[in-house]
Amino acid sequence: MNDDQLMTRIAAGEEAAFRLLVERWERQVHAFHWRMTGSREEAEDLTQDTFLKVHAHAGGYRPEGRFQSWLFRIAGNLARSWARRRKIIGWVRFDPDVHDRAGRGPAPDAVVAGDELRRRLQRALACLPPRQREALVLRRYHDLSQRDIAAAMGTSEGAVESLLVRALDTLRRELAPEPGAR
Amino acid sequence: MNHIDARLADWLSGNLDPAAREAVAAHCAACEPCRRRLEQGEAVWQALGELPAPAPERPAWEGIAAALHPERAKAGAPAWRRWSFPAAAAAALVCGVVLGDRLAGEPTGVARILTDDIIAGTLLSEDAAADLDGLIATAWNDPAQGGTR
Ligand SMILES: [Zn+2]
Repeated sequence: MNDDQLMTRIAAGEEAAFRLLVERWERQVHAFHWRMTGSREEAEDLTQDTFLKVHAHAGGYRPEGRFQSWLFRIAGNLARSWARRRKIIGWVRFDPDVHDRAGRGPAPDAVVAGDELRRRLQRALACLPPRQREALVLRRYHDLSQRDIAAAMGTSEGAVESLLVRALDTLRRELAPEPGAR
Repeated sequence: MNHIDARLADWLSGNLDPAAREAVAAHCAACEPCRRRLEQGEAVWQALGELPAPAPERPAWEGIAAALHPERAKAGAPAWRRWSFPAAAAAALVCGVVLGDRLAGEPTGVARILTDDIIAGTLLSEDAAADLDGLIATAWNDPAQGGTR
């Protein structure tokens, strides 16, 4: 049964269909919220909130084959209001068991490889402005098209493109020394 | 000239048709900055793919079923976990170090000192928290954050 069919059944009050949908998407939704918040606990709470909203709004869903985009619009809205509530927009928490809290900025000519590269990238990703991070996460990890990201984020495709370009520029500058420094 | 900006993400995610790919490749053959951006972009894209996300510790359905049927939930079950300020502050400071490096500017010093406190396990004082707010207010300025909400 595809997502649209499940949504129709959920709107009709079938809880088993809802459970199936949750189990199908929970890892993706959790991973999205984890990348947006940097916290496994926050991600679990936001994942639950996301699905409760899916349930509450199932009657308004139009089965046009774009469930993922609709799902991530809900998830993105929740992640953004979470960031606003915390009044630390653009700054996310690091799980100590996942991130390296003691990490420092690298020496300019450091050779970046392996674990060190992953650590720096993780940190740089977490420090991107939230909308840049959201666009990049949706593109890189959830395979949404620019059009679907625009729909999910309530913005234009041009704006998404610009968010992606800026996010990528920031990350590559973070990881690669400028040519003069080599 | 926009160089390859408009096609960078599509290139990296493999969403360009052959003609567009060829156009990007041709541009990069003649344009050193774009070639470098593309190469570094590919390295970033690949490295991003190697960053794991942890799996949830408990099935989402547990909490969802409890929320849908509060009458079935046991009394005393843990409610929502909430954000703890020291953890938030620690995170912001780690980010501050990155940002400070990027700007090569003033916030770095403050961020580093405070980060040391966090690492040493010290909780932030109110003053330190105020410094942090100031740091956040002044250091970050992303135009995309402005108009859209
Ligand atoms: Zn160029």
